[in-house]
Amino acid sequence: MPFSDLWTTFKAGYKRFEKIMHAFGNVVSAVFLMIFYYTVFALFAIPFRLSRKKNAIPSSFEKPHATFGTPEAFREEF
Amino acid sequence: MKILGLSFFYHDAAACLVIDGVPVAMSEEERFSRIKHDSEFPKLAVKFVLEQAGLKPEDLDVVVFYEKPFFKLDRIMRSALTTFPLAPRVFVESIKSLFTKKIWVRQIISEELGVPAEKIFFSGHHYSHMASSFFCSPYEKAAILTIDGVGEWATTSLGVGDGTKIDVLKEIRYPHSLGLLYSAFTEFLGFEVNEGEYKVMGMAPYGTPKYVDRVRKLLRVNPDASFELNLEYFAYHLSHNRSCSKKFFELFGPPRDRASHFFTRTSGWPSYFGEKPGPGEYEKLAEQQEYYADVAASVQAVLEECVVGLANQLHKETGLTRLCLAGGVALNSVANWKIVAQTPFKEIFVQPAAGDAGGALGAAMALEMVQPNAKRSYTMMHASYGKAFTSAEIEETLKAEGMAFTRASSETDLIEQVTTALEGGKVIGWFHGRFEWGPRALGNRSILADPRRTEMKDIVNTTIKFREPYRPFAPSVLAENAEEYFEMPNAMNHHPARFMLFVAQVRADKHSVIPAVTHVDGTARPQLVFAEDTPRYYKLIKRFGEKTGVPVLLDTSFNLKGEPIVTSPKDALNTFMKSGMDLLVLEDYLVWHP
Repeated sequence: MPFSDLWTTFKAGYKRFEKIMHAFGNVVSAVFLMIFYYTVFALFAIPFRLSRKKNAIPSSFEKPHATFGTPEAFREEF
Repeated sequence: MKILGLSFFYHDAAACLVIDGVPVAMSEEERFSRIKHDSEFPKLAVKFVLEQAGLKPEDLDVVVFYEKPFFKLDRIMRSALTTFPLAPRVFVESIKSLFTKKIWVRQIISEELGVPAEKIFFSGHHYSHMASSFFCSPYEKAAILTIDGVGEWATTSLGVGDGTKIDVLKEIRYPHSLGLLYSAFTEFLGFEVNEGEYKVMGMAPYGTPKYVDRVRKLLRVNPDASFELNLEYFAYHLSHNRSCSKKFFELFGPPRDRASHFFTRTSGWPSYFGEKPGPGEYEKLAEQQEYYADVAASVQAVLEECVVGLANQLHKETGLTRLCLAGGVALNSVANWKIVAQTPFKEIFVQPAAGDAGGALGAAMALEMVQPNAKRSYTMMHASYGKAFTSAEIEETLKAEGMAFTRASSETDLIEQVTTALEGGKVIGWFHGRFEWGPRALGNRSILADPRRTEMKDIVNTTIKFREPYRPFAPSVLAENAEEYFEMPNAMNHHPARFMLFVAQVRADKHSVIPAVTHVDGTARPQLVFAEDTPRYYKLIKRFGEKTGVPVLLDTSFNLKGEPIVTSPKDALNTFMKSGMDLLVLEDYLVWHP
């Protein structure tokens, strides 16, 4: 499925979800994400944090993360 | 090639139209929406830039966004993993805003403008900053330094520009950020983050940098000028609305109350604060506020050390003597001058919208420069890239509002009337030509007054702009007279001074000549005015100089506290009526305050 179709589908779905939830949508999505944070996300976060302890955030100069300044680089969103 | 550059969704949304390598129109969205720091999709700014060039969206060859949304998502997700389980609210809020809006930039631009998705391109945040400075500079080759809060990952980038190419040499990444360090102190000192940083800069000269050692505890600077923040003192990585941690407050004490009046024994107690407290209470309050001024002075001093260190390192690595600066920290005009004074860089360039708004310009210029056979043909000499209004539009507004007005018979007549009013101590709203690009009023949408009158600072602060008494006003000076008034050797060669992006010492013998624009520490943030760039403003200052012997005007932005600078004649009229200005000049029309 092309990316733009994915967006259209997602947006339509989200709008429907938003309409149904109306006033409670914010709370419901927040509760859902909070549960997600402490369950599914935790499965990734805990090992990530443990591994990061040995390898702290870089604190000096780094090589640039991405290549810029080429026509191809401008096409990418990442 | 017609390129539309866009920045939005974080702060200061903007649009910029570049045609064949030359910017033809650009504006922040806030100028049209009237919402300060408006970050939403810049519909109105886009409409303006296209209309200015007589184009429709389908005429555009490409549209380019100033950063890479998925690269930013990567940083946010990794930060959430790193901070787990301490930042659940940041996670929830980020996910909601990213997945419902901020990562769908290609689709949003396509829908808003009706352009096909394949015409939409993406630059990097810091690469856009670098391009906004280097490709608008007069330099064929220069070092480039970008410092801000954070882009995708980078918070500080060092690079070299050569012709149509920019080479990013190295970067420092989030969460280590000088911009975020300064913002933490902005919050501590009782101002709004991303809005009050320049107030900290204005407050600093009222204090002495007594607490530099304490500020230095917050970061470690390496011998190569790279730095690391001690995150135990900060909370910006754990919260969307707090920058300082408990440990920060243990070190610096309680934050300054936002509602408290800032004053020192030097600034005094202005009348509009209300009744002056009794002597004992006054001393106690002054002592409290002076502590915060000392903290402001200390963080400003540490920021300057870091910026000067980075510039020296960049010179060491590149051997170049010209420097292009960009990013929000490049709006710190005190630090900018320190680079010239304390490093081998003797020429520097900063474009007026050095913050995120400038990303729209940089992204468009960067994309232009990767086209086959690209060549540079542009230098930014002025900031007049906004919308202008015709006499018919102005007259219609004045009539619709039922205002009494006169029209000057010629430009000479207008200038004569205005300079007479200025000389007589009147405060004037000055509206002429296309409004300015960036946060500074540079003689197109300005409030003007006589800088020779000491009382003007208080009058403009208290009855016109209703803002804090310590905030300084800038002088606009004829370029050829700048060195008479300011300690700025080769003033005319300093590009940032065209855009009020340098703070220099006022010459000792001129402190008493222009007291209203001389800050408490004897400095000023001059704008050098050139006849070829802003001819009417130049003529106005020149005539004022002929009459008074002082070719300098007090210039402050034409807005009230907390509002964007005026755009249209109607905005100008509204601001004029709400304030105590004496005269409003809308192009050739004069309106006296009823």
